Amino acid sequence: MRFVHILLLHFEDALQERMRALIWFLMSLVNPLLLILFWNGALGKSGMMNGWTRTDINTYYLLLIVTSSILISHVEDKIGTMDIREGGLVRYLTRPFSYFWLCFFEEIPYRLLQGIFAVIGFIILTSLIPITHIPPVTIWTLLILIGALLLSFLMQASVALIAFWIVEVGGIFDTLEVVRLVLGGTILPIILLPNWIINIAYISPFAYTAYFPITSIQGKLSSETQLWVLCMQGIWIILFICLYKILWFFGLKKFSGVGQ
Amino acid sequence: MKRYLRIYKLLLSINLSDLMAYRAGFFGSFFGTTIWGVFHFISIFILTSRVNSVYGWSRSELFILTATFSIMWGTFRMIFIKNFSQFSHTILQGKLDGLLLKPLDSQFLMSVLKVNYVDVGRIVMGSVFMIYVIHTYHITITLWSIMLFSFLIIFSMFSAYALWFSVSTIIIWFPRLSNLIELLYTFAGILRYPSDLMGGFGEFTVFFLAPILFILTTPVKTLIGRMSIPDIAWLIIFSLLFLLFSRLFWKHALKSYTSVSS
Repeated sequence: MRFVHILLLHFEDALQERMRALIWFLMSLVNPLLLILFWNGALGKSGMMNGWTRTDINTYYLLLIVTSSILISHVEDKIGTMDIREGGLVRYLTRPFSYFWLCFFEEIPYRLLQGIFAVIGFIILTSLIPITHIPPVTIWTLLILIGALLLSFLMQASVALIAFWIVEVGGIFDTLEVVRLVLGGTILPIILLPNWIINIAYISPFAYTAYFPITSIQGKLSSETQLWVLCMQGIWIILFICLYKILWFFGLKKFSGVGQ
Repeated sequence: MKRYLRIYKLLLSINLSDLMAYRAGFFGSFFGTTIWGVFHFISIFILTSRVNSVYGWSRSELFILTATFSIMWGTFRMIFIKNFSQFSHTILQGKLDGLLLKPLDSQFLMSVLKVNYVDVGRIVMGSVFMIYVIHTYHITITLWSIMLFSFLIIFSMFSAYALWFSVSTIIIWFPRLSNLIELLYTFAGILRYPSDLMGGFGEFTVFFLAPILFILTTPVKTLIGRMSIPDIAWLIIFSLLFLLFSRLFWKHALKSYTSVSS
C-alpha cells in the first residue's frame, strides 16, 4: 500500500512536469518518423523486404514510438549520476524502503505519462500513415510487455550501479544506449538486419525490450515463439536481479556518502 | 571584432586548461561522444545493407552525407553544445545577470563561453570516413568542389547556430524547459538524411523544415557533383536572414528577462 502512495506522489511530480514529458515524447517521435520516410523512399509503393511490406514497416516504427515511451526506462542517469556520483543516495538509505522499488515506482509515472502522449500520437499518426491491421492484445503479449518493462528497468539500474566504482559513467551509459538501439531493433526490425547481427541480437537482452514486444503486438509471433520470448525475458530478468544484488552489495561498501 | 577574436583565443586556452585538470572526465565524455559518432555510421551501413539507393541517393552518397554530418555536427557541438546545454540553468538560476553586466556582447557570452573539446573525435572520425568512402567508391572530387563545399559548410554552421540560438532563446520565457535543447539535438538527426526524404511529409512540412533540410544536403551535393544554384542561393540567403533573426529575437527576449531567481 505504501508503494501505491509513493506511486501517486510521483505521479503528481510527473504531471507537474508534463511539458518536459511531452518534449521527451516528441524526441522519441522524430527518429521512427524519419525511418518510415526512409523506407517509403527505399521500397517504393509496392516494395517488400524479407516478407515485410511497407505498411508492416510503418506499423513497426509507429508501435516503436509507443513501446519506447512506455517500456524503455531511463533510470541510469538518476541512479548513476544524481544518486551515486553526487551523493543523493544518502537520503534514500535512511528510509525504510527498498531503494530499487523506490526508483521503480518513481519511474513508472513518467512511463505512463509519456505512454499517454505516445498513444495519442499513435492514433493521430495512424490516420495519416497507412498501417496493417493490429490484432487484439492477447495475455501472452501483455506478459511480454510487462517482462520488457521489468527487463529494461533492471538492465539500466544494474549498469548504473557501476558508478560506485567509476566516476565518469556517461561513456558507459552512451555505449549501452547505442548497443540497445542497434540490437533492440530501433534502427530496423531485427529480422531485416544482416544474419550475423540477428544471431547476436537474439541472445542479447535488448531484443526482448523492443523488437519482440512490438512484433508480438503486430501478431507476427506464433504461440511457441511468444513462450520462448517469455522464457528468455525470464532468464535475463533473473540474471540482472543477481547482477543488481551483487553490485549493490559490494558497491554500497565503496559509497562515501558525500559524492565521488 | 579583433577584441572578440582575442577573447575567444583566451577562452580556448582556459577551456583547454579545464580539460587538463579533469582528464578522467574528458576521456569518459570523449568515449561517449565518439560512440554516438560510430552509431551514425553503423546506422547508415545497416539501413543501406538491403537497398542500393534512396530518393535518388546512392549508398556511397549517403555515406558522404553521414561523414559530412559527423564533421559539421562535431564542429558545431565543439563550439556551442556546452553553452546551449547551460542555457536553461543560466537563466533559471539568474546567472544571466552576471553576463549582462560584463563589457561584452551577451549573445557572444551565451554562445561561446565553453568549448567542448571531446567532439574533436567526431570531426576526425568523419574526415577519415569521408576519405575512405571517396577512395573506395572512386568518387571524383575537384579542388573547386572542395572549396565550394567548405564555403557552404560555413553557411550551414550559421544556419544551425541561428536555429539553435533562436529556439534556446525561448527558454527566457520558459526556463524549466531544459530538455528543449535536447529535442533540438534529436531534430539534428534529420541532417543525416537527404532533404528529398521530407517530401514524404508533404509540401507544408518541407516549407516548415526548410532551414534544417538545406543545411547539409546543399554542401554535400556540391561535393558529389550535383550542385544546384538555387539551393546554394537559398542556403546563403536563408542562413544570413536567420542569423539576423536570431540576433533580433535575443534582443527582444532580453526585455522579458526578469532575473527573478538571482
